[in-house]
Amino acid sequence: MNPFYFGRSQRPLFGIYHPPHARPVRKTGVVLCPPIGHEYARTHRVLRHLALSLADAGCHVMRFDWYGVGDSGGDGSDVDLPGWIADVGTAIEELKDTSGITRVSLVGVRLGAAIAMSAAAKRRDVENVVLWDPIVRGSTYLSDVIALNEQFLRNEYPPPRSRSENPERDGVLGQPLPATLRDQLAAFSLTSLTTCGARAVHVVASAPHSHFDELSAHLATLPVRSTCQVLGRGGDWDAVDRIVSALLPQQIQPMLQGMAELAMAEAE
Amino acid sequence: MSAPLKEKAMLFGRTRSLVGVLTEPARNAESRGKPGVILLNSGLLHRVGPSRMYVALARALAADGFPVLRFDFSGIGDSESRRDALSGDESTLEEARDAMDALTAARGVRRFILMGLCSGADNAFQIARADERVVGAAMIDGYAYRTIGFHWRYWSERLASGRRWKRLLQRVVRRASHAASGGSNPAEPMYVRAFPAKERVIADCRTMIARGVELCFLYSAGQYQYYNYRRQFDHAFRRLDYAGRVTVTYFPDANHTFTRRSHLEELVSAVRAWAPRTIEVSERPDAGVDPVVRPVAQKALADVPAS
Repeated sequence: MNPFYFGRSQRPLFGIYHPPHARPVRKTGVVLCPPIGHEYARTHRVLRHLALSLADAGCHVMRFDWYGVGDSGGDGSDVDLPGWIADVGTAIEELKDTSGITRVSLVGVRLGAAIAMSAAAKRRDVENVVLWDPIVRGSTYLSDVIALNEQFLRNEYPPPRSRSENPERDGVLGQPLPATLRDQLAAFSLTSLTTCGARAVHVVASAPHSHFDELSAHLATLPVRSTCQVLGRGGDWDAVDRIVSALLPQQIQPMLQGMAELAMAEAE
Repeated sequence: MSAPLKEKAMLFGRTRSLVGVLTEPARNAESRGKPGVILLNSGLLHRVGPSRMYVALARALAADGFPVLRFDFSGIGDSESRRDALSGDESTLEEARDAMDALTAARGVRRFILMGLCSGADNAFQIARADERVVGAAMIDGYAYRTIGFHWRYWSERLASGRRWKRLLQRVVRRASHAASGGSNPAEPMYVRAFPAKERVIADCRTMIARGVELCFLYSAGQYQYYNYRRQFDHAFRRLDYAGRVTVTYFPDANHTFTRRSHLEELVSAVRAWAPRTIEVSERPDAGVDPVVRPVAQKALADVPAS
């Protein structure tokens, strides 16, 4: 395991490279794309566990933090979707440079899944994209997370002084949401993608949801093989009492195992 | 414009399995005479901290010239679990010392400030007591002891709050309904922190103050089960001579994890205002002069929450 900073000096990204721990070494590496905000913190340990599992199965693996999130540079006030989509490309190139591989799979979680899918649309070196409970519509995510923030802070002590929170000034559940990002999220939908450069897209869901059905129907119109499956318990993303509790690998083992297998599925 | 900073990932510890990030000013000269700062995990949250609190603290303090290391204890975040038989307390102390050694090797600093939220605060206190290289400890929602003033405010507010009565009623109904359906454990699990005896903490504070350690206690209103007014610390520790080395700040609007950005900025400002007190603390001539250092953030001076 090698933690390091990479990318442009004006946009440093924190990453951890996990070299393969088994032979034969797989030809396809894996880049993990985390969620943002409180979901980033909640999933940190399970994504580490997933990375170790993939490395133990012979994969070169890269984890990284988005610009303005986690240990990466930026304070979150200047983040935007195009920048994050570009971060995926930077991470892919870094893994390719580090390991010598030429193809990658992407595993994305929540908004990280949406960003990974958007990045894959523009590339020709992506094998599988695995989407764990992806954000299909940015507008729904935005309203959900703002509502969750208000509910969380209402339950916290001290009670809020005003009836509604101010996401512009105070962010949402610890994540700054600058106006640019909010506007971009409001206009974003995975069902608007018209291309997909990946060989296969796999949606893995904690529970059935109409958004995943819409996404599956849309993927069927694109020239890409796609699957959608419910792999059982996931992150309880909407549960206000889970916001500050870290997910543990043993809580979601079937989900992690399923994602690892899908990420490693190769045509070879 | 913020000061230019450098950030570097580190692997350290006896088996190089502890993961940290060193944040420091771009120009080394700015660090001269300043202790290194080490941020200690809060619960199971990794070194970034809740709402990116530790990143904000690290970068603000580094901008002021302090080299800052935020890292994960073994089994937390990116650091591997230990395979030896050390107890939790022993490994915590050993790994904090590994972090100090790593910062000494990287930046040449030999004096340290420890800092953390909640369990990170508790560890900061205990490690500061145990290791003489520590010259400052900043504890966010750390040890707190109830006073008469605490109980007065706690119960006054509860009895006057319609919301509290409603919740109590809901809880009673829920328990009754659960019991009627044959449930065996209706109570929801609740995280309760165990603090050392107050006398022990006072004795430890005396030891550290005599050593010249600067102690900074920062309390959010979110710690309401333990701390609910600004002067509670003074009242609970009445028999402790601060000798000018104790700073207490209360944030009457902030929740425990400082979720709102404006509250996080207040916290960072308070820590930034306090940290320079540790610069070459052993050489300062003012020990014992200033009886009580009052809260540093003017905004945080209000007493009980007005709401």
